[in-house]
Amino acid sequence: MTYDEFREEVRKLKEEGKYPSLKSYTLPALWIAEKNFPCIDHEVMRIISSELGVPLVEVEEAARFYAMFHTERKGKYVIRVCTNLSCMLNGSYSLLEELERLLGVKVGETTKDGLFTLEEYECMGLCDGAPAITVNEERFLKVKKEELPTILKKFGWKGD
Amino acid sequence: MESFKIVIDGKECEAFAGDTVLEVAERNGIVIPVFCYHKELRPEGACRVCLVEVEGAPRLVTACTLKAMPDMVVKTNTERVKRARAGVIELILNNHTLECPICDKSGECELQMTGFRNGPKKSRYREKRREKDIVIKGPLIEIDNDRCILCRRCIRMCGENMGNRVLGILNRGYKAYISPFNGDFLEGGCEHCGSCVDVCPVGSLLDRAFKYKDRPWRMDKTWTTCSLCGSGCTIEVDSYHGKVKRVVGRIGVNRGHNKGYLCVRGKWGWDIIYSEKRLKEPLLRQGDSLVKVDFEKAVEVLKEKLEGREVNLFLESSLTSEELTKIRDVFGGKAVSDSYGYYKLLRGIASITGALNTSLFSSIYSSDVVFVLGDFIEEFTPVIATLLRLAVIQKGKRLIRLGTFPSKLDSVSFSTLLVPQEEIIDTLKHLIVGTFDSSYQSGNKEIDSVAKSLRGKKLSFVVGGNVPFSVESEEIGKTVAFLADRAGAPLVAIPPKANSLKVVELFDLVEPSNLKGEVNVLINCELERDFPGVELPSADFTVIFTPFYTPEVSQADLVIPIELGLEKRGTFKGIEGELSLDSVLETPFSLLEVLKYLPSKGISSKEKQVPLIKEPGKKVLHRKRELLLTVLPNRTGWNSVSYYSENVVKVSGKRELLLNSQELREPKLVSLRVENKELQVQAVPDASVPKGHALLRVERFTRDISSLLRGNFPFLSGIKCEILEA
Ligand code: SF4
Ligand code: SF4
Ligand code: SF4
Ligand code: FES
Ligand code: FES
Repeated sequence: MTYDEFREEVRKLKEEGKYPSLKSYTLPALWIAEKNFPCIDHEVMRIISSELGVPLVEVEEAARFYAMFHTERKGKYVIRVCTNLSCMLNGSYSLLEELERLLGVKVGETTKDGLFTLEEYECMGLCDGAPAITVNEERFLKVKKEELPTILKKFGWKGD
Repeated sequence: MESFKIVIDGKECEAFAGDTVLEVAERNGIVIPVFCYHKELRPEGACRVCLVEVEGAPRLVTACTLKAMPDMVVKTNTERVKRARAGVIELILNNHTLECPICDKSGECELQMTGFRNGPKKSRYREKRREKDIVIKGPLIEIDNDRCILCRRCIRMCGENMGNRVLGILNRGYKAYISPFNGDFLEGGCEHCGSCVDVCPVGSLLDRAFKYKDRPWRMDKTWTTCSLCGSGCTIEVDSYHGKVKRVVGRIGVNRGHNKGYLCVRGKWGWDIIYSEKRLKEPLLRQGDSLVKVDFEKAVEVLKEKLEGREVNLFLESSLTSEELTKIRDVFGGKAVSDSYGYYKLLRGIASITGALNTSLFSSIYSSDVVFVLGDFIEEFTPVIATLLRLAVIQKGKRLIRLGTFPSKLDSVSFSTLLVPQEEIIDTLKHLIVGTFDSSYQSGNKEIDSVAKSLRGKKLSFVVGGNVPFSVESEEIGKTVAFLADRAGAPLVAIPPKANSLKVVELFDLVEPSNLKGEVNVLINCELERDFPGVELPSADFTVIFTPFYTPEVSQADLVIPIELGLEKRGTFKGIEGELSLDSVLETPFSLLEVLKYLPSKGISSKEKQVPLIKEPGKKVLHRKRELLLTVLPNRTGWNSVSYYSENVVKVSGKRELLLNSQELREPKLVSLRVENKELQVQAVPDASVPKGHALLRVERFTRDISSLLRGNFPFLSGIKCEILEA
């Protein structure tokens, strides 16, 4: 998405007139950016700030507060491995290690081909399916270590 | 208001509805430690060091947010409270870089003091201290995040009280740190008021001009009045061995009407006294050049040249009342002054009230609705704009503003009437009728609704900003005074310069063309800044009393150095009565000393009479195709502060012509034409500039601006102009 297109999208959001105050569109606008840019950079924040009349720093605060928003470049797919209580007890750390091994990156890093970013995450509300991982918005429950390559391949992983 | 009793530490204390326990305790001399609480800020309850025990409540409560209730019994120093407090402080100190020996705040740091008084004897923590190592360096402010205790005082100060919201918290939890957007103060819209630095309890927010310069405990602290505009702020000047190290406002402690709030000029402009352009010795013309002479020689020449001659007196209005009185005594009472526009405004007001004067600024606090008239109050007299904002957010006043250009104040105003400049007087006239007659219809809904919100309310009026420089200043004065008079309300006329009121009181201010003397005497002026468009009359001799090498020094025959505001003792006639100046600095020269050698003219003072007319003013501005020009000095440039101050120049603004974005599509060089004079200037479209108006922002009044304005003195606003292709 280009910055101009993004600005258009934010304008469209405003036109929906869902919220009484423009400030309330900050998170929806950040979501559009999160989905369409490799990261939410300062230019994106400037656009949101000027369109919504929200102080620049408030936009940056929101973007940097929520773990779901990336202000650093991320891969095409963000793999989130929950290591909160239920998932941890069900072996999520071994999933994490295996993913590090398969992808050749450490937690928090992005693969060289820009395909995957690996993240350690807090509870995603999928405890009944612990250990749980998500890849972008797709969820995988009761994941076993051996299933990981299949999951990765689904998203274009070239390894084996 | 009805009061009730609460008991704190066994003492019966009087409390009022809305008081917090902390406030009641403070009034009764009971000390509760605080970090995030600040008298001038909305309570936040973030740090939890103010925990107290309340009878009947199972848990400890934060005194700063707890509202006092009748018969409440509070204990502030039980073992339980002490342990909890020490625990809170222990947690804060664990991750605090204890670098007091090199920290500027040491000696006046609240963490240091509260830590010593209430902290644990030693820490039980074994974990490594977390270091963020994030230091943000702005042009004048630095944030050392390892010292930050995340009390959010700075954020509340900047966002709520100043209305800027430059600072915020980035990241979350342990990693959270304070920063402006993208680490950039200027892009974030920082006005460099210094208020965040002032309220930071620790050494996290730093004044870069002071960093590593001195220690708080050994400096001389002198309370004086800032002379850099008509706000007349009370400031604390800290110096060591006669050298100024910094200026602080001390928000919440300061007893002046500014309550410790400052602007960039007052906070950082003190270094003009050390400017390289400072004049240190008298200069005397010899042939084509000016040569240094000693004071005896200068005084001798001065006496000889002035003897029996009539002078053309040019007077700037930041001189003290004592200096002005002496000046009138030796040079006579006729002068051309930069307060001429303000004088016209006051004359307009006086034609209704009979007095060439203003109400005290504090009179607005006894009204319910404050009617503000004027644009750019935040540029000319920034702290007045801050105080108006605070009147709304702290004291619940309703603000109504009438002007032409949008203002930051509008974000807190109850309503804002923006009308083209030529309609200001007509709008006021509609209000004169509509405010008192509910059946009146002006034909404009907005005006009618403002009239309705004024009707039957206890009103006060404030006129300032660029109004004294408007071609209609006198007529606006009459009209707004007529409205205030009918409402029986006080009218505050904000002076543009620190002692404009005294100049108006003491001198007969005249048009420059009325000066017919043989000797030009300029005191504290910069010709192009104070008298744009005015040429020095030809005279046999020109004497300039000035603190700086000003451009017109080259036209002088004799130049005599004088002091600046921070170097003076004396008084101003200010917006809140008499304001006093004090100083421990010494200068080898003194205006009053020199004037002592001149014979007195023995002019007796007489009260100035302005005929009472009691009629609203008449509209002066009519316009066809032309644009109306306003020349606006940037906040940093008012009084030439950014020109002489190495601090302030770092954040100075620029020169540009702002035009309505429908009238100018994209930035380009244009030629701005006023009558037959032209100025090439970069024009920029700006949605906030109303159609039909042109706003020329300047950092400094230079020769070309002065030439453009020839014949318009004392006006800077409402000047007809055209924009041509460059
Ligand atoms: S100096 Fe004033 S405007 Fe700038 S960040 Fe601090 S409080 Fe805000
Ligand atoms: S910088 Fe100072 S005022 Fe701001 S949150 Fe940190 S300690 Fe508090
Ligand atoms: S508002 Fe005026 S008086 Fe106050 S600090 Fe600024 S320049 Fe000085
Ligand atoms: S603990 Fe992993 S999803 Fe809740
Ligand atoms: S002072 Fe009360 S919580 Fe900080």
